[in-house]
Amino acid sequence: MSIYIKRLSISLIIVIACIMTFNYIVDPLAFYRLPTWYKAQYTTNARYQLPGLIRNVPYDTLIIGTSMSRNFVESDMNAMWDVTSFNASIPSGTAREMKLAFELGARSHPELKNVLWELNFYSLARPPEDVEDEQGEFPYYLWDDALWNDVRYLFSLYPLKRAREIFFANIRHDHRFRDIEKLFKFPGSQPLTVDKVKELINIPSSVAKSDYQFEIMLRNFRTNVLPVVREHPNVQFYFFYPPYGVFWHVRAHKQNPDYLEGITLLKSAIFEELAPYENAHLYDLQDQVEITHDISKYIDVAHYVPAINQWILEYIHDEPPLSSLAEAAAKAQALKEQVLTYRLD
Amino acid sequence: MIVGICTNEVWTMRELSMLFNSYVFLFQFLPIVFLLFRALHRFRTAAFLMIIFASLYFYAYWNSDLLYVIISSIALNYGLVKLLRARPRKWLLVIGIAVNLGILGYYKYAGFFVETISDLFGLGLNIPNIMLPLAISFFTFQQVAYLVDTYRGETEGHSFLEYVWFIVFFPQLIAGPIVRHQEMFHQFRDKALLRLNMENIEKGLTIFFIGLFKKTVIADTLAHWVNDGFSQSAQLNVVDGWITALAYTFQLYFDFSGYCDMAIGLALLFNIRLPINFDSPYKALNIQQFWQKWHMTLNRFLTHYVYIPLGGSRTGKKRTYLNIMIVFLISGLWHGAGWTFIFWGFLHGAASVICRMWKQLGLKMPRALAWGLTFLFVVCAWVFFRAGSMEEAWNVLSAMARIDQLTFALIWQNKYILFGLFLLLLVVLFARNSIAIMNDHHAGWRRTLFVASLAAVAILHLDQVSEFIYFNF
Repeated sequence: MSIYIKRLSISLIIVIACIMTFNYIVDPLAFYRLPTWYKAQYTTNARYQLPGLIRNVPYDTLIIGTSMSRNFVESDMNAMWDVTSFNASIPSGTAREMKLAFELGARSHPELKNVLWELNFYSLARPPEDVEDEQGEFPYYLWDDALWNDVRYLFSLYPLKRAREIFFANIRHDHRFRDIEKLFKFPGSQPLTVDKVKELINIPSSVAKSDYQFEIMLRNFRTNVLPVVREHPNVQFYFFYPPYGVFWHVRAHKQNPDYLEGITLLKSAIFEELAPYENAHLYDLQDQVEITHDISKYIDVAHYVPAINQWILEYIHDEPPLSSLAEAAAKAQALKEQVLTYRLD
Repeated sequence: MIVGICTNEVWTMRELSMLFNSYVFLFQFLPIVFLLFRALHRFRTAAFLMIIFASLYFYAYWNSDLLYVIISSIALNYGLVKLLRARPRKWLLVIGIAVNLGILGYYKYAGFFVETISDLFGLGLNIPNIMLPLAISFFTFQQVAYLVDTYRGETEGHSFLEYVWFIVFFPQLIAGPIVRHQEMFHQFRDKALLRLNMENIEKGLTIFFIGLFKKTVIADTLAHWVNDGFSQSAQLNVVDGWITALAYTFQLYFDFSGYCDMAIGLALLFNIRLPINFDSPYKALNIQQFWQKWHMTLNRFLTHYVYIPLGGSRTGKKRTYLNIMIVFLISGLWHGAGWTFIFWGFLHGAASVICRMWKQLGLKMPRALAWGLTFLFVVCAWVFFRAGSMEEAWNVLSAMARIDQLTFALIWQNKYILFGLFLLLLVVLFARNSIAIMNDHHAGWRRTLFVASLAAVAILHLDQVSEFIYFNF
């Protein structure tokens, strides 16, 4: 090896080591530890920020879901359920991402007792191994325990950019994004109006004819959700179907006539799959007309106002889960009829 | 960037690409190919075959559906080469050139042609959506040049394997430099080709990392301002307009020259010297000088194979001016199938004609003024090169002309980007260029630490994989 190559290699190792050491000490995504020696400012880039928080925030109850679950307020749940919770919901989360979130939580928190798990058709409708990576690569290296691939975090531009943001936030006394509980919450903003729903209901969504197929959703459930329940008998799983506005289902039905039949079948199938497990509790909130038919409780065709998250917490805490296949099927059938008879006025 | 839509699936360049600035290229493809090349140093034919297959794999990684285009093109052209060597007949050369340009025309210009005819005559024709094979402009031009040189009897004795390597060699396959057989084939035959040459490796790594830094750190950072500026061209104020135009001026330079640096560096790892393509073009004092320093191999190609056959400067002043204009219009069209590219070519043609007239009149200009005018012209012309439409280009240029809007507050608002652009101007004007740094080769600690820092920072930026601008052409 020539002197040049030797010196270039040594120089490269020194520079890379300096960058990695900096990222390890500052740890801008709180991947190794919650910051103690500087005022943290977290990012709302959930797929990068959540792994560190799932590892390092103390909790015994984990909330897993999509943006529909983002507005579960941990302190409210703690008071109501007498637990210490952490909300690990991932916007547009797929079932595989939810599995990754749970497994990371279970590995880092052996004391984990409860999981509140949102069963969202959107999350189940994609192939089981899918993660959300249209906006950028999914950072698997943050979601596993392998040490060797930490190099992707330690020698990466993103944490350096985050470190810069944190530095300037401290200089400018910018106190946003410091409170973990408020980090990913979104406000109720303007409630929906009938006119807006009429407009939105005709805008094509991701519900295409090829999506939301019963077989894919069931396969996804069996791959990403069921094994988790089976392998963690000491953890209580509270599954719920989020109460979308009925108009969401109406839109999906308009775009795909097989949609309603698919989710009706799926709900019965999921009940049967979970029935053997005493640690699994299933709630279907989608036929609750006082919620799903009240436009003022929604900010778009899918997302409800934060008060509904509070209501869900109360409901699941106070009410019994589905207890029979007949009950599960009846509730699914009720939703189907509500969708078919719904009139927007 | 979306390169094609297949039924419901949108394939993005990021998914399909093996760019020089990607993990898969840097940490898988390149080390494997380099080690195989070293391992096969006693087996010339095997080494040639390995380079050829590796290059085709590199090419097909983007889109294997269109691999047949380059393979057919090579087979067709080599067949023509054999015929021309046997009997150099002009009509055969003309057919060969026509077929090559026909293929290029079909894939690259059919849509533009049909759209223009349809708009011109209000025919409402369906615009064909033809997927453009990667690098077709480059490998077509290179092969057309080879056909012409074969007709002239300059390519005797070149073997098929040498020819294929000449066309598909992965460092220069995608975006040049456009190489000529005179500078390549003697290297293929050099006994030192397969030997381990540490100096080449050292120089290759140095210039490769400089290029990688130019591309991933500078050009891709500037891309944000450029994309924002052009996408909101109607809302730009005077400072935004200048930021947009200047950012693109530097983005294009650092992107393309960075790519060429990487190509030169990669080729050196395989003991091949590629011609330089840039020689500090923004230092030019007139537009002719600019074209002697910018995309030099394209300029060389157009001079040899278009300008001189048209008569060059031997057929009177007016004809010379016409020839210059034809060359630049072809250059514009080569860069892209659109009126903005043609107009950009026209502007450079007109400027070159004026420059020639100025020189013939024996007029002089202070150096600073000459540089300022040349740079200003190049910046303004780049706006057409980048804009999606003539309207978009006028929007940016109109914004730049609104000097009455200029206030200190507006400048202060944009102080960081303006300062950054000023620093880049100083770099392109006063810093040594990458070729000079490579040639001044030594193993001092400062040098290795400098190169290592560029490499580390560039690799840090790999997360933001993006395509090279010149891949569109």
